[in-house]
Amino acid sequence: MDDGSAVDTETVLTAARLVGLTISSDDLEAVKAQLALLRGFAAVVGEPGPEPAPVFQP
Amino acid sequence: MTGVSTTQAATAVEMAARVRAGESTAIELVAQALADIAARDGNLNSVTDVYEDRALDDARRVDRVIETGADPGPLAGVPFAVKNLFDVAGNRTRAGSVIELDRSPALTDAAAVRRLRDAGAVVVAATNMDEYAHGFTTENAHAGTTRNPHDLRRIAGGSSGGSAAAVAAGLVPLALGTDTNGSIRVPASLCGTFGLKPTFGRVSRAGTVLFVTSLDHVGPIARTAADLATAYDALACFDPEDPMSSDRPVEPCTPVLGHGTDGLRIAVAVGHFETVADDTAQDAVYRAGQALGVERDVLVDRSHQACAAASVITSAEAGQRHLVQLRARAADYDPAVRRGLLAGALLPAADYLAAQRLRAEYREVVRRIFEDVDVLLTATTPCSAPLIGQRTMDVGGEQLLVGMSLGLLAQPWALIGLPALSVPMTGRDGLPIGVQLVAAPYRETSLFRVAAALEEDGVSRASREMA
Repeated sequence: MDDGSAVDTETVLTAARLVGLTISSDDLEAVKAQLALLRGFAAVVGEPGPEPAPVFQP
Repeated sequence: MTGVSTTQAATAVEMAARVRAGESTAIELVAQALADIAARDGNLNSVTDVYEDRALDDARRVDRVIETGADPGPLAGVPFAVKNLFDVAGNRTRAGSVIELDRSPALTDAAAVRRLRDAGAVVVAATNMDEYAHGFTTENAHAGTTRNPHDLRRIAGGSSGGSAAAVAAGLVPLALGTDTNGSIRVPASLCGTFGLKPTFGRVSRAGTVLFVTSLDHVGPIARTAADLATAYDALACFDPEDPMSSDRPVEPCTPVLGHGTDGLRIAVAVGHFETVADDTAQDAVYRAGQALGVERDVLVDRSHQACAAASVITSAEAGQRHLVQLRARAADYDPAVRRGLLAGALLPAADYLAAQRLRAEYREVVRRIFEDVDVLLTATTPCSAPLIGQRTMDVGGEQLLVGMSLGLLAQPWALIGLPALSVPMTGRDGLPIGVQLVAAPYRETSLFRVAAALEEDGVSRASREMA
């Protein structure tokens, strides 16, 4: 799922186990779609630039 | 509309003036608001909890202060509502969820509720929202959908949709909301009210159920610029109970309302901010710009990337915040919210960090713009209120997902903590549509000068028509 365009079932279930979550069969397709969407957003953000300055602080 | 009540007809400032002058009492105003909610909220579904006993007690307290000759504050006796993620002492804080109802009642008021109460206002009700503030539509699986007072077939926007609808319908003159990616400004735009997302850290979030720690803001919704400014002045402060609170001195906004816009450098933001605004939204910005004599456009680079970064950060932080609860009580979430949180919890850290880096870069892009601009104008939402249940909306010939896209014009500013104020206009389609005013950090005074000028000219006006 490196290109952010597709997320397969095995990847989602493995990632979920890694953080102690269970994905029900009812949720699986929607979670895959949502994760693909978010990974697409990450692709829009682009390659990491320089080390981040702190986010805006009051 | 018949039977217009005191609450519907008067502004918060007018109400408080009458109470302070002894021409009315707090108990009368609060009793009227409670009666209005009971009589007229059925179709709207904007209110989830009514605090009748407490409200009447608080109103009597205000009236006793008046009787002693003391000043109860600039919002004396003004009834207000809060999004149901604010703690109200003695009551369970829902955050739009059934899970939260299993927790103990709040022991104290949220800081923002306390600040308004200290200014004399009286909390009368809590309002509907998207579960855990995760959404832009206030279609809540547990509490139902809040309807738009201007057209009951349409959404109120979200996630502070109940607060905006209650204000737009005249049930209360003032309400509190929270804004992570536009959740004050989006419903303000769709319901035709004023709504302010202050600078990050300017209003305390203590005593609220947080959604995204690095993006959440508390702010007011009202029907006039003066009411909004009065509420903001009461709310803004340093609060050590909120780790993100700013100790910078507060600049009050009510004194500048009549200052006009002379000397302010105002420009229209273009690029992304035109691309995702339909003709109605762009026309509203054009009319506001014409009224203000704006002749300058500014391209805000990387704003579409800022939206993407905001979505990644929102999902990752919200997923992490809910991780423990998702393991134990996943079935008790609204299914759509659960699926979004689950996806966020699975995002790679590399994506989150890249989004944070973009955030820092975007802040620099915008900081340079504000070196010679004081206020930027954009539409607040890509379009006016979609129908309830509508999944996509046509913006410039492109079909955008309603649930994901209503905040596309609001997200970039929240990402970098800038103050943004939505002023109500009437669109060419006859529905409300907001124009968003954006300034550099802590420049709320500039926003209020522009908002008040547009209202004074009659360009911006909150409609009090009730469907």
